[in-house]
Amino acid sequence: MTSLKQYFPANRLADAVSRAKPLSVEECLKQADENLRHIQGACADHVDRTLELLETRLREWPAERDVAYLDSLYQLVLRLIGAATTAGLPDLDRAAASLCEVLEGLASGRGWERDPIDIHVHALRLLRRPAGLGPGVVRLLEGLTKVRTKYAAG
Amino acid sequence: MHLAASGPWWDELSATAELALVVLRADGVIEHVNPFLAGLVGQPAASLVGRSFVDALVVDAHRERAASFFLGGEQAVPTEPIIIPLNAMNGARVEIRWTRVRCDLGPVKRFHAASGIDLTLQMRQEAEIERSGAMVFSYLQASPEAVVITDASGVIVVFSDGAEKVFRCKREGMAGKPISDLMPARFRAAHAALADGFIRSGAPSRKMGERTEIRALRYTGEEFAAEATIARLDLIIFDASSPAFAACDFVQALRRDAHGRNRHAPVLVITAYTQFSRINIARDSGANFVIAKPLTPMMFLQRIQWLSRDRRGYVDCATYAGPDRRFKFQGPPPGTDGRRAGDLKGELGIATEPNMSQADIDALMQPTRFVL
Repeated sequence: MTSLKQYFPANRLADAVSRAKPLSVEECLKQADENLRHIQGACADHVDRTLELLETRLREWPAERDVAYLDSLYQLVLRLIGAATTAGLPDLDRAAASLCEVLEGLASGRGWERDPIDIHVHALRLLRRPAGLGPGVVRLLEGLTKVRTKYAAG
Repeated sequence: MHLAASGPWWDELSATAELALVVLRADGVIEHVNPFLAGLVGQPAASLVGRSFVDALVVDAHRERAASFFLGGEQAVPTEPIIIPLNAMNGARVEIRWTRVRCDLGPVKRFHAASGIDLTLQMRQEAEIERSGAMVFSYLQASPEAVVITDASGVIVVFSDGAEKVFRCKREGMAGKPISDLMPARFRAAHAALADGFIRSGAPSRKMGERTEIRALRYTGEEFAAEATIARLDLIIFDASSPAFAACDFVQALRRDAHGRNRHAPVLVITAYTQFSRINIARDSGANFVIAKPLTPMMFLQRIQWLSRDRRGYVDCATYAGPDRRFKFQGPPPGTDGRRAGDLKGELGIATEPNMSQADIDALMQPTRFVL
C-alpha cells in the first residue's frame, strides 16, 4: 500500500517578504531595470559568441538526416532566448524561438532541409544590429513566421 | 569535392582561414599543408612537407585510426567525418574534425587530401558558455557584498567579488576549502557547534555574533571584527535550460532530502523549453512554478508574490515529494467574503436542522464489510 503524507510547512518566503524593507512596486521594477542594464553588455557578448558557434556548427551540415545534429543546434539556439531580450534585442529573441520551433519540426520528421535554418540564422545575424533594418524588422519577422508555420511541428 | 590536377586550386583553397587542409602522398608523406593548419600545430608549413603526417602530427593513441582514415584506398573514401587530434608544438592538443576529399591529381602520382575544422576553440567557447550558464552562482559571485556559500559539510562553493575584497584573497583559491579557514583558529570549533545548532534549530536565519563577538580572518592573517548572517534559502531560482534538464534532478533531490534545510523552500524553474512534456517534468520534480523565458521584472515579481501567498500543502509519498500538484478551490481566502455568487457571506450562524444519525451517515457513505 502506498503511504502518503500531506502537511503544511511554514511559508518562509512569506516571512521573508514581510520582514523585508517595504518597497513600492515601481521602485522594485526600477531597481530591477537598473540591474538588467548593468548586465546588458555581458548578454550582448553572450549573444555574439552563441551566434558564432551557431554559424560554425551550421557549416558542418551532415549529408544525411541527423537528429542529434539538429538537437545540438537546438541547444545552441536556446542559449539565445532570454539573453537576447536582456541585451535589448527582443526581436532576436523572437527569431530564436521561431528557429527552435522549426528545429523541433525538422527533428520530428518534417523533412530534412537546410534552407529554413539558414534563413533563420541569417535573420538572427541581421537582428543583432536591428537599427540598420528600420521597418524591415517587421517584414523579416513576418517572413520567419511563414517559414515557421510551414516547418514547425504540430 | 573532386580536385583537378591543373588550376590554382591549392592557392585558392589554402587561403581559407577556417579550414585545415592537408594533401598526402600515397605513402602518407605530407605534400601540402595550408597556413591555417600549420598555425594550429605551431610549425611552419615548409618544415612539415616531406614528413609522415601521422608520425609527425597525430596524437599517439589515434595513429592507427588516422592511418586507416587518411590512407585508405580511393574505393573506400570515408563518408563520415571523424575527430582526430593533433599535437601542437606548445604541447597543446588540437581537436580537428576531418573530412576525406576525393582527389585526382594526375595519372602517375596518387594523393590523399583532407580538410578539417578546428574544434578546439569551439569546445573552449562551449565550455565557457556552459560555465556562464550557471547563472545562479554567477549572479551571487558578482555580488558586491561578501557572500560565501558552502555545501552541507561547510566547504566553500561560492565566494563573491565582495568576499574577495573583504578577505583579500582570490575566489579560485577559496573554492573547495572549509569555511573555517575564514575565521581565527580559536573560533573554529565553536563555529562548527553553532552552525550545527542553527541547522537543527529550524530558525530561518540568524545574525551571527548575537551571543558572542564575530572575528574573521583575512588571507593576510589579519583579524577583523565582522558582522555576518547565516541563513536558509527563502527562494530558489533555477535555470533549467541545460541540455540534461539537470535543474529538475536537483529539485527532486532537494524535495526528497528528508533532513534538508531547504526541502520546503519555494523553487522557481526558468526555462526556454516550454513543451508540455518539459513542463510536466519540472512540475513532477517538485518545482512550485515554471516560468518561460524571456523574463521581465514584472513577471518575476508577480510570481514571487504568488509564491509568498501560496497556501498549498506538501505531499510526501513514494513517487513524489513537493508541493501539492492538485489545485482545489477551498473557498475564498480567510478574512475575505469572496467574489463568487456561491460564496457564503458573513457568519454561518447556528444549525437550522438536526444532526444526522450514524445510520443516516452510513447510508451516505456506503460502508463495506471487513474483518479485523
